[in-house]
Amino acid sequence: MAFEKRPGDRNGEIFMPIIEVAGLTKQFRTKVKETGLKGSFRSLIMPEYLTVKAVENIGFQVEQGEILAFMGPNGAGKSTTIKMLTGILYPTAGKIQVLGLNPTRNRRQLAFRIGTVFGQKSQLWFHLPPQDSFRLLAGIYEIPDREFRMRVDYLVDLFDIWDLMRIPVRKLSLGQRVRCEIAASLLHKPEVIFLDEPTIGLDIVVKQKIRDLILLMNREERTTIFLTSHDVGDIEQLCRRAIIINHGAVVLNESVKNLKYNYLNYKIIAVKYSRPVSIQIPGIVKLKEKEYETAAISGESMEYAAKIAVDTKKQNLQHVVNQLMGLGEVLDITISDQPLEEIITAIYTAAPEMNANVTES
Amino acid sequence: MSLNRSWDSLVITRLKIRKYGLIIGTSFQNSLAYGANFLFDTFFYAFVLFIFLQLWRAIYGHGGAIAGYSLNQMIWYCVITEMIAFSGSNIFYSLNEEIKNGNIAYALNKPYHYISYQLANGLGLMGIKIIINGLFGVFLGLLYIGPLNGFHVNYLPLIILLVCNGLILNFFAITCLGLTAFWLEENTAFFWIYQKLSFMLGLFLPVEFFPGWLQKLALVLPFPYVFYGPARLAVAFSWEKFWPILWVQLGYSGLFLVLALLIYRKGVKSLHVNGG
Repeated sequence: MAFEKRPGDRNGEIFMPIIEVAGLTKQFRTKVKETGLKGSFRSLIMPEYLTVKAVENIGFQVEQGEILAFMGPNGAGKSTTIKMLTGILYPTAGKIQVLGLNPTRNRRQLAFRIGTVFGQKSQLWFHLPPQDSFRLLAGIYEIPDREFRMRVDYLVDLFDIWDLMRIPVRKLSLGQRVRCEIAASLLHKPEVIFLDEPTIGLDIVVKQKIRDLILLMNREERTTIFLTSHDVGDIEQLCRRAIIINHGAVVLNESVKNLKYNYLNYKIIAVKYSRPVSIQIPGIVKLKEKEYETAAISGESMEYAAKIAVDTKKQNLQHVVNQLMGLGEVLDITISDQPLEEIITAIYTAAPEMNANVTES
Repeated sequence: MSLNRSWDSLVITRLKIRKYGLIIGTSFQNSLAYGANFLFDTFFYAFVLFIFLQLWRAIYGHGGAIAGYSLNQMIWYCVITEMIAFSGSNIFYSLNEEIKNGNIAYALNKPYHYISYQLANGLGLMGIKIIINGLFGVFLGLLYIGPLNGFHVNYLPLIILLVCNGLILNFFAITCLGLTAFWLEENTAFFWIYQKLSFMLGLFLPVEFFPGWLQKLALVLPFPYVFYGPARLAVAFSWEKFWPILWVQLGYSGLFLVLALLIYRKGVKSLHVNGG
């Protein structure tokens, strides 16, 4: 199977695929063992192996300057795919081209032109301040001194990490470390950057900061960004296109606009009132409701909480919130996205409906 | 034009050399963070040597020589072998850990050869350890038994060369063992056997203490060239012994390097990085 080398034409726009993947498959062989002592002995004498398909026959393209979300629940095969794209893992079958190179055969050559951040691992030296790791990385990427100094000044400024540069990495918070990690991976001006769960474990404020930085570097340097995440917020804010994989296969590959319209149209509202109310708003789905006693000293001792889903395609969110506010004294209200797992279930079951014991009101 | 090109290639070569130099330097700096660890190591070094001192004093009783070694030579022999043992790289454990916990992923997507990177990293760590242990070892030897009889300072550079070669030979041998983690979940048994054989065949005792057939066997194995070779020549230098020891050290280092590269090349294809 050969790749089309010519630039293509889509919606009248010229596009140049920078990552091309076809029929990509990765299988692992793992030892299985029955429980107990007997099982241990048996596995010692006659080991049994199980072939696990981590990624199965996936194919997609990424264009230059694109921010692509590569999503899926835990264990879906996201990291395995990224590791194959960067040449760390060898595919069992299929073709990959990144920047016209084969990552398996031209790993080192490719390494000069791509950057990687694995949210759960670190490329900075644990006991040294980031500035030392930066200097080492500059050496590793063969960046001349003058260029390196200019680049560091630029990135340090952009990522606002002046004050962190001289603190040993082990003393940095997770958010501070991730900012340094991303800056470090940009030192050699990569054309593509792979971000594997960059926002994992971060609080909402830092998450937002990281997202802003990702957008900024995409705009400033036209860096192509390949982002994996299982946070719906990440794709909504960053990406124009999303690929969702589950159990190693592509479930969905379409624009975030369509995804939002078709599958991200549900918002979950959790609301709490100081006394029981009856929520009767047409078109909403009540997921849960509960009345409970409180140990308040004041007269009223019954509170009421409900969780409802709003289909933003059919209902105006603000309108629903206004109506909810009008029903009684609201103690607390939060609006959140539908979890990714539910979106995937919705995609599978074709009908994008909420999968709860729903009672339409 | 061609001048330009050759100038460019010179700059690129310089950058490539600088790359590994920087890794050595960074590893050196990172090791300094374990200052307390070094201190503990030097105490332990002193303690082990003290035990050997007592042991050999009891064995030598009223003087004389055993297998050609005087008490003074024997203690200095131990100073050198333990100096090498305490300065060795922990590459076996770091490879093992890195391959099993998946941190190798970050090392693999950088523009360097993984084994060269590990070597540069190991040189930084071994470099700082051998400087500390070298100075401290000489001090301990002088303190415990006095100057080494018949030692000529002219031979010092040659001894340092053999000590460094011993460290590098050991490094490549245990790199091969560590790389088996690509396939084996539990590979410490190999390391354990390697370590114990090294202890028996050179670290504790010079090869001359063994019966003739065992001496012959030992000298074709790599183990004595890590500890015995450098220490034997330090306490009794002879050109007839220097050349064979040097060549065998280099030969085995080369062999283990090639083996490590082959194991790595095959192993990295079957790499399985768990999670994250």
